[in-house]
Amino acid sequence: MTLPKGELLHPLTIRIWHWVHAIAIVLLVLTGLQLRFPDFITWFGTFKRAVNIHNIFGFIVLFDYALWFFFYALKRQLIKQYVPAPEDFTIGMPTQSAYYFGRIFFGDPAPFEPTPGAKFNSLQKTTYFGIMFVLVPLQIVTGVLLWDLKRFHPLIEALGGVRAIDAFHIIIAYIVTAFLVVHIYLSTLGHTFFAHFMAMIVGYEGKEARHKKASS
Amino acid sequence: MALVADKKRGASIAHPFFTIRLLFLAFFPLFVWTGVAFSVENEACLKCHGTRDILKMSREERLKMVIPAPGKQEVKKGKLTLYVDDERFRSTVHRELQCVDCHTDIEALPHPQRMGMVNCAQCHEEIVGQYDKSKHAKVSHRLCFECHNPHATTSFKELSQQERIGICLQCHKKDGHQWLPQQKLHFRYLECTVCHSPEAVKGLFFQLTAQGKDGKRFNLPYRQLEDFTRGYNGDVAKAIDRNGNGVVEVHEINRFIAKLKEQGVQSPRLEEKVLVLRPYHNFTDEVKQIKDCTMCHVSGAPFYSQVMLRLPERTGGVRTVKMDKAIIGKIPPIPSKDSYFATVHGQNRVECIDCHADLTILRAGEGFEVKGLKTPVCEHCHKDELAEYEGSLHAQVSEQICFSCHDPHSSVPFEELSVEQRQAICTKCHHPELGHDWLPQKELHFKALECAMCHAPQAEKGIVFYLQRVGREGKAERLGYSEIAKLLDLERPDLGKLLDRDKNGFLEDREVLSFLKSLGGKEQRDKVELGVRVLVLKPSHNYTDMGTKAKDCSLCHSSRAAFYKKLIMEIPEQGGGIRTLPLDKSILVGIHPIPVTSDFYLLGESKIAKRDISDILFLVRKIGYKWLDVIGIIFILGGLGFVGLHGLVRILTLRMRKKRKNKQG
Repeated sequence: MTLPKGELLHPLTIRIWHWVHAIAIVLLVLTGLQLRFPDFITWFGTFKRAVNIHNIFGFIVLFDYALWFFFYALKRQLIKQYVPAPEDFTIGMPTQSAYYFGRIFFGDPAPFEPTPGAKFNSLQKTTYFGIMFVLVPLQIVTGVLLWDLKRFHPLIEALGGVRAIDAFHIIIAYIVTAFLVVHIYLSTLGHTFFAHFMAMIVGYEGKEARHKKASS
Repeated sequence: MALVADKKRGASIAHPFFTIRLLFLAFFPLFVWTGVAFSVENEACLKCHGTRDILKMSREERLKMVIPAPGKQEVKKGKLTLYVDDERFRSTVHRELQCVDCHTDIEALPHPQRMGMVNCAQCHEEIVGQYDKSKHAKVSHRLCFECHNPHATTSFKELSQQERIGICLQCHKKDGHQWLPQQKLHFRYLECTVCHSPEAVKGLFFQLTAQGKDGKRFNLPYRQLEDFTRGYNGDVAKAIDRNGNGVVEVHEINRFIAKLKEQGVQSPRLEEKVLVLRPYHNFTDEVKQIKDCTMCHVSGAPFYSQVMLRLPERTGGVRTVKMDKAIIGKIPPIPSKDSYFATVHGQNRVECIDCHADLTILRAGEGFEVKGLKTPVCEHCHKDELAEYEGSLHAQVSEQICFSCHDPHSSVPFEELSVEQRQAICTKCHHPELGHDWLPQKELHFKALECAMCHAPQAEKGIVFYLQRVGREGKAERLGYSEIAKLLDLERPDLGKLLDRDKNGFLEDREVLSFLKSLGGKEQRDKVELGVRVLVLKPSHNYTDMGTKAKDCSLCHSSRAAFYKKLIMEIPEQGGGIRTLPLDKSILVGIHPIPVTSDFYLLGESKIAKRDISDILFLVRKIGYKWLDVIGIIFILGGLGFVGLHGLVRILTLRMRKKRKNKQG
């Protein structure tokens, strides 16, 4: 397997998008916790303040999502990068699962190496598809609806009422939070502990590691 | 005794003037000497009065024997005769006296034809004083000896009930008692002055009786008790009062009666009478006063303060010994008016005539003869119960009627009866040991359950909770209102409000638990916990016997047992009442931080049942949208769990990977 040295894995736009997205999501989770458990959590002062912060970062995510969507759409990579193919389910996912739950502990090499054209392994692809194409859009839509109940009243009623909208918003929030935990952990499973982490900052995976890998 | 007479005479001389009194004192020894010289001995009197011949003599013959006193009026002498039975006199209470002690007019023989009246007040001053003020004296002008024969009377203590009644019956008839219910019984147990002498001191007297060959009961004479006094110097009282404390206790008399029985005395037992202990000679026939039944038919009746046992003595007399008042509980109680109002009937204002229909005549104020009251009419109020009972096996087989089991004069509300008291209703006739051999854990069942729990399948059953204190020895004691108030350190707390904090009229388990916590909060030596009993809440009078039904253990030992349908908490109220509130069943099943019911386990409550599934579904629906948080938190915990576990294995296998890398390297 050869990887052209110095090839950019994460373009700058994507890196900026990622970190804006990351900060916004973390703040949404934290403010969201205060909104959900106002009896226990008062990190952001008053409830109203928490709502305002939550709304602001909600819209940041909305625009950030649009940035991501159009960036990949214009590059015509959206489907290629994110939509799992049948082989991903038949070969990719079992192989990747076997690696994550077993072989990784023995120091075996990863069965999949990210390239700028195919950044995600089968598991990542499937998960990110669910997140970016289903959950985040749903969360944005429900979030916007909840942002101004009066304005969207007819639509909310048509969708089953505030309770149903809220239920979706909450359960997705929990899933996204759980994903966040796993996501951060999985980012440590690169060649080195900080390899993936660094890649998202500088755009490249560790040179030395890649070199070693290429030679082996 | 002559001295007494002389003193009197001396006194009458000396009384008017001081100087004469002085003279009297100076010559006193002389008077004494002359007194002795002129004294008349009883033998001298009895020479004439001690023989029946004096009764046969004519007036003229008798006049020759005395110093005539013409013009002097004859003194009333009532039923007394000139004849005095010496032998009888010697057995009287006056036996120590000389004739001239009373007949003070006699200085020498022959005595004058007419003499002054005997002054009984010489000795009986107090009694004469009482009598003189009485209506009896004003109306009848009777003198002492017209009722009491001083030549024949024994000590009042030794007079039997019949002898005492006999004194009054000399003049009075028993007429005028028609108004009195249970006349015969009253005459059998009382003497006249119990009612007619309100100020006399009365007592409850017991006597040892036995059944004669003719079937009649009689007082056991000394002769029949003599055998039992061996080693006690022939003293019956000592033979009974073995601990010698001067009071006959219940166990002592029971022991003695048992001994009598062993020795073949026919059905010996105590029979009680209400008698006068110290008479008071002011008699009344005031109907108002006497017809007040509450003079006796109250628990505080005067005769209950003196409880005595009358025993025959070797000398032929009677001795009274004090008796332990506890014996009162051993005799059938007199329907008592004051305690009646505390009964469930009294509280519901049921009057005597409501049940004793034949007493209506009494109310109308007409005289009537009650030869024994007719059967009371329970069905006026207890129609349903009676109808249910009449159709039952119990009624068909035993033919018992209501009051064979229930005493309407002392009945307390059913809910206030303890398990033991409820059992006692049945064990009057039924022996609990019989027919229960099949029952596993028999003792435990008997301790915890009342009979009707199994034998009245249609009765409404429930589980009753109450607060109890458990001592260090494990003895549980039910807590009353004042004790709980003390534990709470509050004055007049409303326990119902304190328990049912959300005021919904239903006690959730957490409400009860937090209340218990507040009771045991301060340093308590004893543990306060929730007592619990399975009880019949609403009885059914349709009883079953062999109980093919009762023998089905799963009637109780399963979660479908009837008593789980009703759980109530009994809360004591200020003033002695009890308030009940329904209670959540979960108190029996829940795992609570404080022991709630340490001695209660029915086998039914902790088993899962069909109903529980619907309960669980209900709970799921009740939690509703909060499930989102529960599921969400599970997601997050799942994520963290994966991360933690994966990371741990990574750390543990770190060394292995390093080795492999080195090898490859």
